[in-house]
Amino acid sequence: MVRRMSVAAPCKLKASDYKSGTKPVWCPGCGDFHVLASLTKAIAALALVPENLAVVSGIGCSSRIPAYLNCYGFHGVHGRALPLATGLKVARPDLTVICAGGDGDGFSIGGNHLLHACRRNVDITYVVMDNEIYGMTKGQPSPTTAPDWDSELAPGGTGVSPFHPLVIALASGANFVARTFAGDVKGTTRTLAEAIGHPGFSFVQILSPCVTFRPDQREWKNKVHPPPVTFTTDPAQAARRVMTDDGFNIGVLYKGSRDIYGQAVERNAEFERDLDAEFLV
Amino acid sequence: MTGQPGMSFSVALLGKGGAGVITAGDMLLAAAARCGLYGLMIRAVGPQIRGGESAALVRLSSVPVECLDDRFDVVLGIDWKQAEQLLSEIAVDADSIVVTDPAEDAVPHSIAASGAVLRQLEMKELAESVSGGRVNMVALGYVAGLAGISQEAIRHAIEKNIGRKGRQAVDVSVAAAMLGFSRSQRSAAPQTGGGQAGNRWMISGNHATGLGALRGGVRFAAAYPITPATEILEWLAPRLKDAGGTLTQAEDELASINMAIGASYGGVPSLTATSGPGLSLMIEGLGLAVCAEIPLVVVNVMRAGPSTGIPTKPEQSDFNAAIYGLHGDAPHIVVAPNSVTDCVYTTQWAVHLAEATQAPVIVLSDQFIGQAIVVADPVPAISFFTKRKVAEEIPEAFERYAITADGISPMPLPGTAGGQYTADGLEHSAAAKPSGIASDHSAQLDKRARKIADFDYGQHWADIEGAGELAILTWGSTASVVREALQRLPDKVTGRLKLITLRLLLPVRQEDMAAALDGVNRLLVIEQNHTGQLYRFLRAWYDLPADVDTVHRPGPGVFRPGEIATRIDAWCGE
Amino acid sequence: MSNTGKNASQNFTQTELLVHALVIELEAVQSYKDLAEQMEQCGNTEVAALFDKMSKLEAEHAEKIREAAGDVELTELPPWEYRWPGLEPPENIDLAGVHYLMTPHQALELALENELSAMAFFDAIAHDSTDDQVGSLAQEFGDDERQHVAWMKEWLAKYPPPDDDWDYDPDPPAAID
Repeated sequence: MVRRMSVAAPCKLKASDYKSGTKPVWCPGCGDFHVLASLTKAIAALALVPENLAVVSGIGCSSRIPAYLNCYGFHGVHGRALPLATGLKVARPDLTVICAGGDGDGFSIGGNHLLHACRRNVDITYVVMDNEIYGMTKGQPSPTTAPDWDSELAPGGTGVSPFHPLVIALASGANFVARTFAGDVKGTTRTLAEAIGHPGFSFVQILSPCVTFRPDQREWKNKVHPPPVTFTTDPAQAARRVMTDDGFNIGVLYKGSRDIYGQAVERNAEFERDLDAEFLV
Repeated sequence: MTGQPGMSFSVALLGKGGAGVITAGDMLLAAAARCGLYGLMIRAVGPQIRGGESAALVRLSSVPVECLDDRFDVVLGIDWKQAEQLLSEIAVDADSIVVTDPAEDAVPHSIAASGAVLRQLEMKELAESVSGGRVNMVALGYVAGLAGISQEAIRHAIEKNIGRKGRQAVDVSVAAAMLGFSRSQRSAAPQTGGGQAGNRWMISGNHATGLGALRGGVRFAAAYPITPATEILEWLAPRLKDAGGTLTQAEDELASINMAIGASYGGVPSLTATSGPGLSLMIEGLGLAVCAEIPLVVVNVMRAGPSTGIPTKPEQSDFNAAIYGLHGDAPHIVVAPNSVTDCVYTTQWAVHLAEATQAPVIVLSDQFIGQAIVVADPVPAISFFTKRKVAEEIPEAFERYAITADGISPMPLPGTAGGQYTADGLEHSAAAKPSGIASDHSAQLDKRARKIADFDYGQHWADIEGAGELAILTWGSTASVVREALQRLPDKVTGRLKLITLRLLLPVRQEDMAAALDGVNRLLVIEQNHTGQLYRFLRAWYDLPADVDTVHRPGPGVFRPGEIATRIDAWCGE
Repeated sequence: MSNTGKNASQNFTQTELLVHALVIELEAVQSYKDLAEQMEQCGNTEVAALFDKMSKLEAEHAEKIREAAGDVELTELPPWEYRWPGLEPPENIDLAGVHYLMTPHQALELALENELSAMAFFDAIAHDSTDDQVGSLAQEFGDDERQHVAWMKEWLAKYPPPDDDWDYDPDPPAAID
């Protein structure tokens, strides 16, 4: 397999140029460091201009990511990152908008917004760093936590079935659906670059281990595996595939081609005069 | 100023669903406008979405009117099926005319007992005599005749309202209306013909709010439907598009306020509109806009609360929520329009304040102001120098939340090279880095407080009328009622009275208030809620005269001028 | 984690080898630097200093590769176009392999592992390449890594292995949001 070393469009900025220099609050070993590395590599590979990129988040460990990036950022309130990103992208379609957060932020308190963001299909990329835990509040079960996981808040486990984010995203109309593993920087970088480039609402679930409250997740690197087949454009097939896998298939699952919400409209130069005329009797 | 007693003419049109009384009321108002009259209409409804009894309460006058009268000159019932609940709002007396169809049930007992003059009008029969004729058009013609409105004006109003349905539909309606008209005779109605056709506006408070928003430069709105605010958003949807902006329907109010914050962060003046329960959901977002310093306008069209309360009726009871609802020390601005037409001005001012101070502004409208439709003089466009302080050139060592003398820091918009920063709900340093350090916290708290407190609100903070040692202080929709009440009182009373209508509820204006209350030794605070929310706020924040009284009662019924005049008269005599 | 594809180590051109070698070193420079910062942030200054030193060491290597390239322009590729034996460049320390209480001994063990994998990467190319020039360049790079391996082993001997309770922290984690 000989591949020509055809060098793609030269990257103007290096991945490290997309870091703000602010030191992360994350624990050493946290998967989110990998995600930060992958994200900066992906945006460097896409040669995105820092001032034309906005990263929007909610609350939680992973939601701290905008401050660590050299771009416009918004660290909003818990669970509301997607509406914040939606408003920004609809009002400023010229920007590249990425929304980021964790499983608690995105699937629990912000769960409703996920459904409607998928439906609406605004051209944003939503990156969820899923560690199956609320880390910043010291380890409570989240919607993706296994029912028997023991914790102080739920001794003996919650007994509640986990949420299946990829299936929910597919059923709700997301236009690009993928799962990656944080430790696979190369794969995550590639998938993020693809997701950002794909029109419409792109959803990327990144399995991102929490080494502090879920040291067992250090084993994820031995569990993940690429999918046996390539992506599909049939959401039903994608849903079946992901419903029946072991939860550790990584790669792009689905690529759709739905119409994008919020295209720029033509301004009517006379609109102010028309407004006044409308009320005359 | 408002109408004198006897110069206005109030008509209530009642009927069950399908009777078309609201459409008839609308046309009556438009026809009156064409004859140079002013007027106001509100829709009173029962609990049903469709089919229930409803009423168009219309008041016509030769001078501008912004509230209902105490009583009705004419009450026309197309039927009286479920009228009892509505009749509590429709006072009649021996001078009133009650019009009823002999083919329908007898008039309700409360009306019969009032001594009102009963007139029979075979509305159903007359309507059926025109092929495709409708009973509401017969009613329209009849009451228009009583009000002295010309046939040409009626025809014009019908044409304007249903012209899109085609020539035949218009002709049929006009024919039915003329049958009603021919049966009526001029009653004691205001003089018509004083004005000129085409120089009046017909506008609801909610549409006026939308107009103010657009004039102020709003180009993004996020919408979640809620009574009685929805019309603001529905009106804005196509017009924002026309203006090159957008309206996005959100999945809930949590989303709508955050969408508006996101859009405004992007540099686009943004708004959302809601009512009490929605405001409660938006409070967290308001706090975010305070902390991250994002300009934002939230219109709250108050309805009777708490909880779902009485969604179709007004109450000035979200005052406390708007002022005190936010957690933390969260300086923001609260303004209130004081009439239907003032919604244009106050909303535009709200956009100006939000953009200039980089803070959220709550506009406290209410169901009455929002859903009433008035015929009024056109509201001229006002020019504010509305411009956000934007960082266009980014200097070395730029700080987004720099500590400035006026507390307002230049804001870089996405797309501005070198201005990259993360807006944050976390407390932060001047350089926009998260910070839990005491000095950063106090510096940012001070800055955010200063930019609101020190802003130049000019004379817009209150409307002040009259002079004297007695003062009445009020706000919102109650103000129009108080104004009219004062018109009715003798000069020996009103000559001693000053009326202060607060437009700026927050921040407090202690110096302005001290000047306004100079020489005042007694103060009466009038508002529509159960606990006297404004009264208690004033006592907490302002130096008031030693003698302060309060008139406050909850909704759902709006204050009427007679009721307020009686209270003021009694208070002045104390 | 399974490999995403067989590394065709025999098919590297000289430019490709140089680009890969440079990226290996640059990535290592960055990841050691990141780890040094992380350790500094959570108060493990001893390990932070060690990672910092490693970062500088790798930077010297990177410089050497640039020299070897001479006039050949080395342009970075999109990250997914590199051909590594695993998911990551061989010398790239696993960010997930660290712990805030880790000891210098453990840090050096990780570093040693990286040097070994880098060495294996170059050795495989040296062994498999059909191009003599590429083979000898790979041999040279492999020898440099061998030198690093020797140093790591030397340093390791100076630091005692961790106690059994090296990761014991009597205090609970902090809740910050």
